[in-house]
Amino acid sequence: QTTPDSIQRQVWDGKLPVCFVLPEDPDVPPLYSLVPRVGYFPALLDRLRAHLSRHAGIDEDSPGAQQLWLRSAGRPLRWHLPVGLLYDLERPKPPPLPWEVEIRTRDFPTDELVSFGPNNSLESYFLYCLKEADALKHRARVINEMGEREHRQLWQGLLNDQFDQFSVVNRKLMEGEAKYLPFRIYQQGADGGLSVLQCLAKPHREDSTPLTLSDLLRICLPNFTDPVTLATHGVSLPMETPLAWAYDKLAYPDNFLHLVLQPGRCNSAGDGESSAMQLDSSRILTVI
Amino acid sequence: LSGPMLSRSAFNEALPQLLARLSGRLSWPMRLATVGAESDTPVMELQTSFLVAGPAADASDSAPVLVQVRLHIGFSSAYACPVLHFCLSQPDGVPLAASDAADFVRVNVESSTGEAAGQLDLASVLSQVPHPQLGCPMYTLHPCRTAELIGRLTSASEADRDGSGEVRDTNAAALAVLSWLTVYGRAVGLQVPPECFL
Repeated sequence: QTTPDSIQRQVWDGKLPVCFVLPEDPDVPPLYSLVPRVGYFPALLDRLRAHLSRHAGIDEDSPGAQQLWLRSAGRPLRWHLPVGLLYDLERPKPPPLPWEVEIRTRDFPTDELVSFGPNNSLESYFLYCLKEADALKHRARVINEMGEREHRQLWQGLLNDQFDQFSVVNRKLMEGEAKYLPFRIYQQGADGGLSVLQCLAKPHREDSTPLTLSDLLRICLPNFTDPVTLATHGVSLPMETPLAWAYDKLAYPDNFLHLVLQPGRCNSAGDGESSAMQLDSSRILTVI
Repeated sequence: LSGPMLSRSAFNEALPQLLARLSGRLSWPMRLATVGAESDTPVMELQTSFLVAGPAADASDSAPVLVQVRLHIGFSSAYACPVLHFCLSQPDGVPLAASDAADFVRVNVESSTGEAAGQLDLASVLSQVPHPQLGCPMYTLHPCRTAELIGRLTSASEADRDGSGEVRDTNAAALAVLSWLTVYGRAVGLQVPPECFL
């Protein structure tokens, strides 16, 4: 029997097999890992450094190991985004599994990638995302009422794959009436540029009926007419899905619903054969 | 929230007045710009260079180093308040190492507020994040308490004469943003001259 909780649990449990390789030294064996879709690549940095230390003779404290970054299909992986979102964004279609990700130890792209480390922790960034989501939902009242201990518990729960530890605190953020629902719509361009769209969306229309995903597209992309699909966690969503329902069941641990815009209708057989989408770019904020 | 909220449109309309109030009184070069693919998101850009003491670890060579600060003042719809994004780099454009960036902010905050080093939990309010429109990594101070601050500032200034819950008066909005900048600008060594409020 499916309980409402089980969708959130399935989202949490989703994992991607990843194969980390070091192209600059082909003798180094790859590192295989089952990475949580809702997790973040920088959380694996210590493991990657240990691997390089053991097999590539790269000391963990060396500049190369400290300025390590990741690449997929020739592009830096924007690792401030959750792993599953990055995979779903890959063009022209999600790569075969295990997902081959390159480790680089030189030429960190400082103008493109956020640098995570002891002075800019992933935990701090995760909290930054949670705060923004709660600002949209509850004017940040709930997250500000929580103490540092609960903030810490959210992060530790995510880091250690402890759903119950995470949920007991996250429940407070997810319950109650939300003023606006936190979401972002992403579209990866053929040139590697990423468009990120975010706007203010209430859970209900003026007439109090639930706001749907197609309503959302009309708000965010008013001049857009081509058929598109919104997908999350690798699943296409019907356009009549209420945003509030999608948010409640499918939001990531950072309390955002991350949606990928794809060409074609939901349930269409198209799997990436279409070329670059025809979008009215006047409504899209393009982010390099 | 105690006072009326700042809206994005009030903020946008206040930017030219903010520029006018600061120009000529603050030595930082500044301008209004627009960001985003549609170039419809106004921001204020300011920049300057500071001479700071060299890294403490290198005791033999404590020559001062030049740090370039590039500051963006924008608006966060989520928090309904202004937000600061900044880059810190060496003169050749190479970004400051994260530890040096944190030290820079810490020194600026301490020298302006007198708070002792140990009491300041910078990590919980300073992060390097992708700029919401530009996408490039920039530092920001978490705006979580900013909305509270703005609310206190606007309620004190009777900025909500029509009872709408929003600051609609451009002058009031500009002064609110200026007050906010007085507080948050300290993190990057920006000191708002009192004459700007006249």
